Amino acid sequence: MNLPRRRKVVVVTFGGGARDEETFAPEGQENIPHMLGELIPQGTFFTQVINNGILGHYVATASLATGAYETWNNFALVPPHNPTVFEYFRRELNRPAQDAWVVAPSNGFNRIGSSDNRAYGESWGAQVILPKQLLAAAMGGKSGIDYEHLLRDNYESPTSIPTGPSTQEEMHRTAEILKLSLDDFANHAKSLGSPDELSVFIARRLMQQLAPSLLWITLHDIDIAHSGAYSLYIDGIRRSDRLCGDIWQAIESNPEYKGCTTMFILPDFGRDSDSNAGGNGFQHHRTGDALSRTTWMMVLGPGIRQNTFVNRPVDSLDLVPTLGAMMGFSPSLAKGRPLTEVL
Amino acid sequence: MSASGPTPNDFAPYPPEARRLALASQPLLQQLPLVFAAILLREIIAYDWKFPAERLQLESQLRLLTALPTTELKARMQGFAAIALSPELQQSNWIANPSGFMEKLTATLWSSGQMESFHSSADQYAAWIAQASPTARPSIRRLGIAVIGYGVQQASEPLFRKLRPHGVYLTNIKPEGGLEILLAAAGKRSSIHASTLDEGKSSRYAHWYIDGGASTPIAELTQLSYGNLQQPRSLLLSRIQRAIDSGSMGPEALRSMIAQMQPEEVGLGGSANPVLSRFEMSLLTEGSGTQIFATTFVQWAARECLRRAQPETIVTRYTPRQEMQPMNVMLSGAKASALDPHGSLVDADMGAYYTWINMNRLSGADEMSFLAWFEGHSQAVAIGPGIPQGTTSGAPMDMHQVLALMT
Repeated sequence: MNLPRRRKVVVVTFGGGARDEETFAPEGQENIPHMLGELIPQGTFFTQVINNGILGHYVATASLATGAYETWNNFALVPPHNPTVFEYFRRELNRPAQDAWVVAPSNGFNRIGSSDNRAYGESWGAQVILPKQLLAAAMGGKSGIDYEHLLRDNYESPTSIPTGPSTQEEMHRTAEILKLSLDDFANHAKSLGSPDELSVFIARRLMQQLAPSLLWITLHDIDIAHSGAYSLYIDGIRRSDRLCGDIWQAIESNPEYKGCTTMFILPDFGRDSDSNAGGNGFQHHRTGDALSRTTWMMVLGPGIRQNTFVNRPVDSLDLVPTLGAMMGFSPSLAKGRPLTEVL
Repeated sequence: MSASGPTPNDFAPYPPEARRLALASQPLLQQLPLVFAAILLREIIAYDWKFPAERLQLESQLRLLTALPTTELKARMQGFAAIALSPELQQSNWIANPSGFMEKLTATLWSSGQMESFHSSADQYAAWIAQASPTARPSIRRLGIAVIGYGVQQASEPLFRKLRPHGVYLTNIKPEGGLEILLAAAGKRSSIHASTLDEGKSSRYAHWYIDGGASTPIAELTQLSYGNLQQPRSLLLSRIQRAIDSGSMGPEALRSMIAQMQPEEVGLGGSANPVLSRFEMSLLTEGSGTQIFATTFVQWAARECLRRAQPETIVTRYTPRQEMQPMNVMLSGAKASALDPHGSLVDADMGAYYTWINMNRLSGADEMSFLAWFEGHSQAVAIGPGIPQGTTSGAPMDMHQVLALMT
């Protein structure tokens, strides 16, 4: 099957973990002026997206990308066991490696590009770029307080998962692909405010240089909520909202993307409700209660009905089959169903 | 451990009071499914450092279970008995280290898809306990006070939005001497409470004051303060930093290491009040963000205090937390670059709301009163029996009059 001409998809996970009441519920709408005022009028909005899997960011994001609930330990450095959307896309449509990319926030996500499924695997996977690792390489091992705010890792735990060595050569190769001087990158990074801003900067660069057909951007600043500071959690939501607007603008202003790109925005999951005695409200996502499992999804682009709301509950696993139906591949091991409202 | 469950020797490493309780409960423990026995032992092993309210609850639960006919006990435990465990988990040292077992059990429940059924069994059990052995009502009506916003000249966003629908929004309070009046009132409640108790009963741990700064001692109140815990926080953070620097420890190993730390390791050993020291230790090791943010410390301490000690009076006072810095800088224990009073006010506003929610989970919630006050300013919310909900009052009043409104 051939790829429908020039169709591109950008998936943004609005993470890590935001509740309805701080986003689309009436009391939260002040935090998302860009999505509410600029994006929703242009798209279809699913009001109930249920995640029935494990509520850890890596395993949940991997489940979104495979369309099947992965069941490994969230902190394990393992690839997904089910084929990822990138593998289906590249193998069935015979797409080159540089047509599928993931921009991910931290070390834990560096295996998300491909599964350990024997029929698929790394040779069909996405290129995964960890902007923080790239920045660290650009700094060449030097410390610098100017960059510390961009290099912070997973908020849920202060340690990062040990990863294999990423050589300077690998980083330089990535920088070359992006036509990015590491020195210029390091200088530009000084002006950025958070790891997610760094991720979006890299994503824009990818769009300019390689224009991948399938681009997956994982935002993660919101997960500062684990520190218990509500104001910082809200700041994270407001920043993510602004960055989603920026990504859409990047799509609309890039001739390779404009008019042929569908953007999906969805949180990986929610956070605990205030009313569940087992949790501590917004701070964590440990109770598995309805609020922590229920989020939303926004879809916009050509052919997508505008200003439309879908109130029936859908499963977060439905994303991959929908992408398959949209782009022309069959995610045979994915468990969800295509969302007909956007096809 | 024998095949039929724990034996007396298994409890030898337990602290004295916990050992006594475990030995007395041994026949019951032998009848329980492993998962539930471990849950119970996690409570029993900490008995020596539990607050009076927790001790009463645990003892009452054990009495209730012991008195159940075998068939009913089996039926109540059915959900827990159905949880499939790996041989490795079954053979782990769950009696000596029930907390370690629970950590592994949690990971197993998630990865095996059994978390939902575990939650459902736990919820059913909790509902049954609450109905069969209800917590006694407090001897005096509970009072909660949250003082927020120290150091802020003007709030940049409307305050108390989540609390206002439940009480009266006061907009014309005379703030002079407000904190002193509130603390004195809390101290007085404690004194009066103590004087009304029968001989042999104690009001210890019934009246609390939790401060984000360094509080001045008030003899009648059990006190906690973020400022006074600076040394333990620094020692804990340097221990965490060493673990991070070693590069050999993943997130889970770090969490286990912190959970196993003893009060002596952070300078909280040798205290005249080991129950309180253990509580302080748990706030720093089990709470997320309590080591680095004063606002998080106060909110989490209040939550845990309410859940565990079930106090009749609680005063929380929020002071500005440090400005957001990179996580690794904050974890290094480096001096705060600056404070963030406005962000802290937002944190504290939410913290006050959470304290009110947590108070509503305690017995006698229908009669409790709650006050949230913007320190040094004229705005507050008062909630309590007889106070009209969702109203606003611009009547001038001092803090004595505010308190009179609520009691």
